Amino acid sequence: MKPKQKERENMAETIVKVSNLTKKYGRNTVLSDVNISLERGKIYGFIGQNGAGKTTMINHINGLLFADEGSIELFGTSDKRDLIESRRRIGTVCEHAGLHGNYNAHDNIKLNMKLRGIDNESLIDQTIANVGLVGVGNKKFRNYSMGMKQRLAIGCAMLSGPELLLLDEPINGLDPVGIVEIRNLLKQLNQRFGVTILISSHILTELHELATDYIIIDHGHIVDCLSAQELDARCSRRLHIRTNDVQKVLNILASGYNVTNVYVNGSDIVVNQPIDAEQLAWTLYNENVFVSEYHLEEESLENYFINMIGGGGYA
Amino acid sequence: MLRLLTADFYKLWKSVGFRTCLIVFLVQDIIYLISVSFVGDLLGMELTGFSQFQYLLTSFSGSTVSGMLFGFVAASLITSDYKSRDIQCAIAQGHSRGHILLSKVIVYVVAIWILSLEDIVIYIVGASMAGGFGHSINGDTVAYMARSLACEGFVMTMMYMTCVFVAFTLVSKAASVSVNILLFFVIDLGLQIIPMIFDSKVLTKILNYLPFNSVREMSAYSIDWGHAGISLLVAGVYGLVMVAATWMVFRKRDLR
Repeated sequence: MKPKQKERENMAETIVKVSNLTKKYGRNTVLSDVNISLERGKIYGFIGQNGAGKTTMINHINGLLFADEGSIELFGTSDKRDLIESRRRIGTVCEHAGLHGNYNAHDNIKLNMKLRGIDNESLIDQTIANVGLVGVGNKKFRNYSMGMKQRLAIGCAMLSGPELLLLDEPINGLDPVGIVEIRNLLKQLNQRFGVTILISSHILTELHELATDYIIIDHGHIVDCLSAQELDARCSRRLHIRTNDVQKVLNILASGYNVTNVYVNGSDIVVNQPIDAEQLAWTLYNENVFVSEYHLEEESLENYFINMIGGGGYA
Repeated sequence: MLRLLTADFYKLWKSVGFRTCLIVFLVQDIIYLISVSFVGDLLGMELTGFSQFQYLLTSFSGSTVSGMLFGFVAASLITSDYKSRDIQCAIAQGHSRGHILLSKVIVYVVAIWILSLEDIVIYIVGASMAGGFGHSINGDTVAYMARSLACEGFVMTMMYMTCVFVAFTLVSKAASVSVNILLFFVIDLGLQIIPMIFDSKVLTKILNYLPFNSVREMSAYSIDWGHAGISLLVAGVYGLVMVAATWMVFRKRDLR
């Protein structure tokens, strides 16, 4: 790879930068000191359980919520007026906002075009075709299947050619066919038009074939931000140790092997970074540590996610 | 701003509720005119265009009834936009909250004027067809009608900014309709009772300048511009205060 090309790739444009964002509803802290950056052209899987803070985060980017602390920068600006303007470069799919149950696809698209100041009647049919809703005719939006609703919502969000697409749980309630349809549509938008996508979900496996990067949130805290390659690497090889002397093992791992990425759940220790397992086994043996279980495991994405947010404390 | 207005008027035009209101008004007006033609004599009501115009202006200024009606319209237009998440959608699409509020106010005002004018036109045309206009049509009459419409319309428009405030504040349709009814009933009752309790000429004079009272003087044939001028000013200030209060509620509201 040429040095200049490498440099360019390293300096990928950040289009969203969230810094130290905190949001409270009364005494309940829904987002706590959140820092994330979204780079142009990537597809981010925004993972978290229900109530983890995904929608709250997206609503802050959208300008629907006001942060108690912290700031948001969109397309290089954090000025209040410029932020409002910047949002015109974002498309959002969120609980079918702006889509009326008693309108058909044509009228819903027309209303969204008016809201965006687009005066191009041919774009209506084009959008209907792009999202695969040709032939729905006068059918009211409320009578659509969940997949059709989501596709129309994405079509409307794409009307003004946004550079960033925010999707809040777009695969919720979809059947497998619907999920594949949405996934293909989003892939197409990313590959053909270079649209950056942030897609929130609590189903990690469904995002696996789509996302280039992941942001994992739990109880309002960003737990991890990692690329798809990093996630695959972490999932592929994890060392599982069961012992009655957790603290001693942790000390050995920290001092002798420089291991920091460790999860503890009772007497179970999971080492989440590459390590010489054979060498460690000898060390534990020499240190007289009783080990009842010791194995390298391949982990499913689902398990990785569960371990990240639900299993044990962070060491 | 223009984009918001275009979209909001498109929604108004497509609104089933608004179309239903237009039809209900039409049917109710026709039934009313037919009733007056049969029993108007017994009720002492004249079925002429001019008298029905005056009657309508008086009935519009009965704040409880019109408060209910236009409160319902405000609740339908504004709270339904919260429910369908249109307001949230507009913000997410880069429209400022100030423009969104202004657009809603404009569309609401246009909606209540369309409904009011529909009533007025049907009353005048229908009654004139049945019993003639009932008054000489000259410059003075036209000026009186235009002046009463403009002045009463202005005071009422400002007064019903209360409904916009209530709808934006409460968000729920049922709650805002209920509060509007209660509010206009309480205010109407209060304005009648307070002067009796306190027996103060100054207080009575002040209360008469409030839009809830002053709206009645705007339809009088001869008008004291000294008094009416202050009433119009008070109404204008009242409307602006209501819009400002709505803005204060809306500008920093979290829209979940």
